[in-house]
Amino acid sequence: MFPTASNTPISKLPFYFLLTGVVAFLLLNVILYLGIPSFIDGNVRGPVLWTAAHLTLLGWVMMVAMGAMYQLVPVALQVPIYSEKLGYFQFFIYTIGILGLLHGFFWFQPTVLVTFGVLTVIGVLLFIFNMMKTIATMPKQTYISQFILSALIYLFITISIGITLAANFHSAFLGGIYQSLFYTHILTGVFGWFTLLIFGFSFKMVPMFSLSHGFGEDLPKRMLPSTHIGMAITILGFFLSSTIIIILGMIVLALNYILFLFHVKDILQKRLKKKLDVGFTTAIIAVLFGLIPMLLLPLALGFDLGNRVVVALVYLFLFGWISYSIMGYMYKIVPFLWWTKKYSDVIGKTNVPQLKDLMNEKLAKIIFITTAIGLIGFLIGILASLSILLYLSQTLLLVAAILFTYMVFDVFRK
Amino acid sequence: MAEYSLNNRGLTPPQPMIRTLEKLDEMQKGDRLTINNDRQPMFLYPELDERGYSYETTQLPDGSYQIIITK
Repeated sequence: MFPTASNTPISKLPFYFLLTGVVAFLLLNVILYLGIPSFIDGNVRGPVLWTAAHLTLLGWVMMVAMGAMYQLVPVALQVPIYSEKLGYFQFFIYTIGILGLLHGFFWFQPTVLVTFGVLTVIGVLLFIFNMMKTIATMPKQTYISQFILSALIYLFITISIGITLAANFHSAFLGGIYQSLFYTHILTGVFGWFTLLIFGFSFKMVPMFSLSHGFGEDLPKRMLPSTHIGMAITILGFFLSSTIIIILGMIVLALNYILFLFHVKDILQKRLKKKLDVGFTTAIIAVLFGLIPMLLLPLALGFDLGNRVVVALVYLFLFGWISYSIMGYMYKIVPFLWWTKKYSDVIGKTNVPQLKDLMNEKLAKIIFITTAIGLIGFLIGILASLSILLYLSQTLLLVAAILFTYMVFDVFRK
Repeated sequence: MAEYSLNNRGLTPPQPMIRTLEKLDEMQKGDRLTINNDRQPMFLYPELDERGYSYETTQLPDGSYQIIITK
């Protein structure tokens, strides 16, 4: 099912991204400790949490997303990557950019921020170019490729706004429009890019990992236009500073999220594989974590439940949905990639280790459960402003992150 | 011990895998299934391992793959 074997040599490129991403994941869990006081006093917009947010989204999630795309786009869309060389080049530019960017955020040095921000943007632009060129070689677009294309367009919007906001730190020129752009930046990044990307790949990966076929494909085909409409309405609301329009847009997005959930349910009901493994189960639980903020965020804004609730829901969306589903999928992708790379020439001919020998299911279970408990604890900690609970939960999350890092790197010793 | 065969060539994923697993479900223990695929079925192997079926792969001169699976 994965087009590997001798006719398509297996690339090392995804590993660079995936492993760098894991290191960022470890680091962000350390930095979040420093951010706990900001969750208590409610002032979440400051250097430490800016650093943590970008380390999470650019260092961890984006890095893994890029690595996974270099691996999965050829699989899901059946076309080879336009340029592997560009992929390596893009990786180094992007990584150097992020390192500088994080330094700029942490010590709040606007000049550093803009300089390395530009480098990061170039790294992302090259990635978008490489992917667009790849997808363009498809003889016919599918709904999956359309989702991925849409996600890439939102990524482009996100980083364009991001660098504009960074430039504004250097010399304020945006004035009143700053707030609107800031919220749009978050929405296009978190929903437009990451969520649509996970949707797009889930359409392929959920059936693949559960061995399902014969499920309906009307839902995902209909979802894309209404998702764009929801995005447009919400963004319009940001610029008009109209809470009602924002809520309306978010309800449209929430309905799409529910459609996605129904589609996943449909796939799983038609599966051949009875027992789902722990990584895949985690990715499914992540969809349910994400549902909570999707449903409650419009309510929190509508009934003006306050900043604390909004922060808690955004936290759950970032770490419960996006980050947690990536953890789950990585548990599957990394061993599979390594196994394929190392043994594809000899599998089925001589006795080689089985795929499941590369995975540590027991350890994974501990990691994913600990992470879930940590996430819920942290969430309650934000809502209740409980310093002790926040530190305790983050300690659980850090322990899980250390074990996760160990688990991922340990695959390569097998 | 019956012999079965399936030609999965020219099909796009996940068809080859689904067809193979469905065929295997119909077969009795000890039966053999020979499949022909365009590509090495890297995703099928772990599933066969998990079910405890043995298999042997040969690459044919035209670059395609033949896998003999024993249930």
